[in-house]
Amino acid sequence: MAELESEIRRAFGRRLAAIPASPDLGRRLSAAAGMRRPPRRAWQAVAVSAGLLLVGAVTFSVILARHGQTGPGVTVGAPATPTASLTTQSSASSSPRTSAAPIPGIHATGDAEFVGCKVTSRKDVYGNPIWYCPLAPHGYHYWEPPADCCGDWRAVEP
Amino acid sequence: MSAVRGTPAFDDVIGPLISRGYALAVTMLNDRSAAEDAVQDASLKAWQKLPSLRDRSAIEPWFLSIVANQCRSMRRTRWWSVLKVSHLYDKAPTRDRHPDALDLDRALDRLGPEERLVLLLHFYMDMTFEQVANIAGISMTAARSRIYRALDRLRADLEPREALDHGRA
Repeated sequence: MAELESEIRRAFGRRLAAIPASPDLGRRLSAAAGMRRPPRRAWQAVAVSAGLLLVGAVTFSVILARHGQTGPGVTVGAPATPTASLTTQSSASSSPRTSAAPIPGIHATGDAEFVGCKVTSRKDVYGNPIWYCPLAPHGYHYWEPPADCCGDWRAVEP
Repeated sequence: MSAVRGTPAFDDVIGPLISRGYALAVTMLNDRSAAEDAVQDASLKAWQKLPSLRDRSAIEPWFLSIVANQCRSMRRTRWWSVLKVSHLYDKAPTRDRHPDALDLDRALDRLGPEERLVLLLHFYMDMTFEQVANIAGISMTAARSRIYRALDRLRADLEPREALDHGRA
């Protein structure tokens, strides 16, 4: 038994000596492996993924914040007490408004939901800008009130 | 080649295993170019899968199992089944070899590739039954029985000649 085992060992030695590997096999393999990217450890892959996710989340939040904002100087101020009156505005003016200036009389109703309203870039079918009111209870978006509006704005979908 | 930024270098990790991988492949395939192709494909696969290897001390059986799988894949391809593989020792010079050695070489050739594989691993590479089982992808019991079965076949193949020699003596 032991003799056969040693014979087998020698036989395999002869076989391998009869078919030697090419001398440049190692170099070829090294070159082929060099053309591929070296393997990364799992924690490196996790770190790269986490970094990409973080960058994506920051980018998304910045885009979201910018989208929610309106043009400069369009925030309607919130006076402590309603002082102006809608009647002070021209009652004949019923054409669509395009100005981003605060609407006089917006606080005339005294409704708290109109505090901090800002005009957005959205328009209704008539070209009137749509306003964003963060304190409004339903939808936060309103049509711009007509000039003679008493403050009873109609809510639109957010 | 040295490691770069903590990344292991191919020559340091896979390089020392290539000669044994080639020995395994040429034992299973009996063809130099096919064996080199198998080792090359297996080396690249191992290089890519290296981060998934938890126990670096077990890298040799792990690498050899990849080479063995690659050899099996190559043997399964259609071109291999229709290709007439040249018989190794029909071409090799035989004048310097003892007739008994020649018989054993031919008897080994008559074994199947999986039987040659377990004999190589156990008797030439001095691997345990457990390591042989891991590389061959079988249970330890199956590895042990495969080795003994291959030995029985070798003995049976060699016995007629021995009996003839004894008869002549």
